[in-house]
Amino acid sequence: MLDYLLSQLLNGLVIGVIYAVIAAGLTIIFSILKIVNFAHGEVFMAGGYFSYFAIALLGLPALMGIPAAMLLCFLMSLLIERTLLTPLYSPKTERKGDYGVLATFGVSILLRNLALLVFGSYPLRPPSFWSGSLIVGAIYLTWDRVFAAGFGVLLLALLVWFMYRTPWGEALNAVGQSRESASIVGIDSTRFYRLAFGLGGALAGAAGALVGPIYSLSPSMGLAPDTQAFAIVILGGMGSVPGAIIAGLLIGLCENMFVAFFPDPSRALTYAQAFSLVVLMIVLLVRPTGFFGRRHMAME
Amino acid sequence: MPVSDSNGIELTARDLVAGYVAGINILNGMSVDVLRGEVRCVLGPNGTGKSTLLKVLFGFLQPVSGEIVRNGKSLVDVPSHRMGQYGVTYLPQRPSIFPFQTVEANLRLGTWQFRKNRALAAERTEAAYARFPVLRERRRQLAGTMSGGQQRQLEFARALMTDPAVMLIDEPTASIEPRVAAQIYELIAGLARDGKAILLVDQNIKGALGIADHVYVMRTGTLLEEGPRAQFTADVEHLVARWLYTR
Ligand SMILES: Nc1ncnc2c1ncn2[C@@H]1O[C@H](COP(=O)(O)OP(=O)(O)O)[C@@H](O)[C@H]1O
Ligand SMILES: [Mg+2]
Repeated sequence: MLDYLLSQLLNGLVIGVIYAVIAAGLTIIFSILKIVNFAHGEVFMAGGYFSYFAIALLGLPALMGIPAAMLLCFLMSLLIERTLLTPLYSPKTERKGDYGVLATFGVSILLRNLALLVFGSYPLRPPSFWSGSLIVGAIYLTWDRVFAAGFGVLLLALLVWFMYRTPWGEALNAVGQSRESASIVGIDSTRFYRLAFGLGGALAGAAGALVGPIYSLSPSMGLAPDTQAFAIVILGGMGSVPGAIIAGLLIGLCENMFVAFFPDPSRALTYAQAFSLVVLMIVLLVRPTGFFGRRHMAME
Repeated sequence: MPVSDSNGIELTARDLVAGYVAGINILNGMSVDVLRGEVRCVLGPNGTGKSTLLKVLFGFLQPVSGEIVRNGKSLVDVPSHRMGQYGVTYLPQRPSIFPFQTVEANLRLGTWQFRKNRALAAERTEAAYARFPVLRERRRQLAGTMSGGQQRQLEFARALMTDPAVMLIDEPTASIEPRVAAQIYELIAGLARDGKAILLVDQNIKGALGIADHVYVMRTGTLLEEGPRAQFTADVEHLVARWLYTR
């Protein structure tokens, strides 16, 4: 029983780390551009496929699939930003939040159908990063999961270092608070919008590459994690990277424990998402801004 | 329209026409000169376009027509994030500090344009702490948790990091207690004595007239009258009456 609990706890942590990586990307984009990126799940999906094809077509070693996915998702995000999001920076655009929803929602449908067309609907399974399993007593965890969690933690640590310990992170934070104030100190906000959107995309891409060998790839693989990521971003406080990390771990853990101990195992999985929304609602009742939310966030 | 430097003009604006919506102009041909070592203040009733004037001068709002010149170069097409490189800084009506970052980080952001010159950044930071000791005490505090007066001090300290020649200041003492407001006017007067060229927009007529060298009175986006301070201090009631009753 204790072993079962421990196994489930570890599995929950692995999922939690992946959620945290996806949600951190989503929250960075929100904190800087003040839009909810509905295409985030599809960038995650694209990351999985980019990694797969980098390995399968270019013959890269499995590990190199991750940086390849990050780079390609970064570039793809820049393309989306350049072609569709520049109206967000114009004082002439009214209702920027609505514009962002419509534009990114359109991109998400486009990308999902493009994937269906190009990659087909059958699931693909990229090669393992690290085959075999970690077995300690009755605790059982595939090395791919261990690796995904480890790499995810490394990415999150790098991200936190970047955000809080470098001048660029400091400037990014400043732009998120006020574009006007950032201009006054000489920061060119446009470059940071681009950076934030690309960085968010690269994180989603990394997560997609990391889960590939665990869950396999399909064009609709981004839908469920995307919904979870929205809940996590709100739970952590809109725009807060540490909030997204803590909330991601929490939701991953809660979800897994819920599935593990739900009385009717055949139904547990279908209820898992609803359960994390219950957690979200309870937290919001007590703290309407989530764990670390800032009030009044909107594009000037 | 050549602008010579000999009479101390740091920034000059001629016949500015500007607005937020096409066809509706808020500024209707406004002109000002900002001079080295002087506080020049812009007075006028609410909604007359004083803040708009500063936004146009700093590049936040593109003028429909008119000229903004500094050192013989037009600033009309310079984006606001590059104004610092031209020696112009702006303190808007609503304080522009970064409330969710520490005092220290706010000052560091003030050195953004020359951040690679660490020695200079360190020297300016030290000067800022020497001038505003309260900021040193609170350097690890989030800027947004300080009092309104302290936030203004931080904003001035941050603006001074680049050692600007021209400072555009909008209602620096709005919603600040009188004792602290007096300190802020003293600070501005001191900056002018140090050679800064200051354009001050204010609703606090007494406060602004107390330190102004030259006064512009604005009315619906144009210049109503201008002159040295003495012309206005003698008869503040007359001044207010004029902008209340001339239509
Ligand atoms: N961002 C804006 N969009 C549209 N109109 C504005 C904006 N800011 C100010 N205005 C309008 O411009 C006019 C002048 O405003 P402002 O320059 O702030 O006046 P003042 O600073 O003299 O009180 C007002 O009628 C105001 O409603
Ligand atoms: Mg004003």
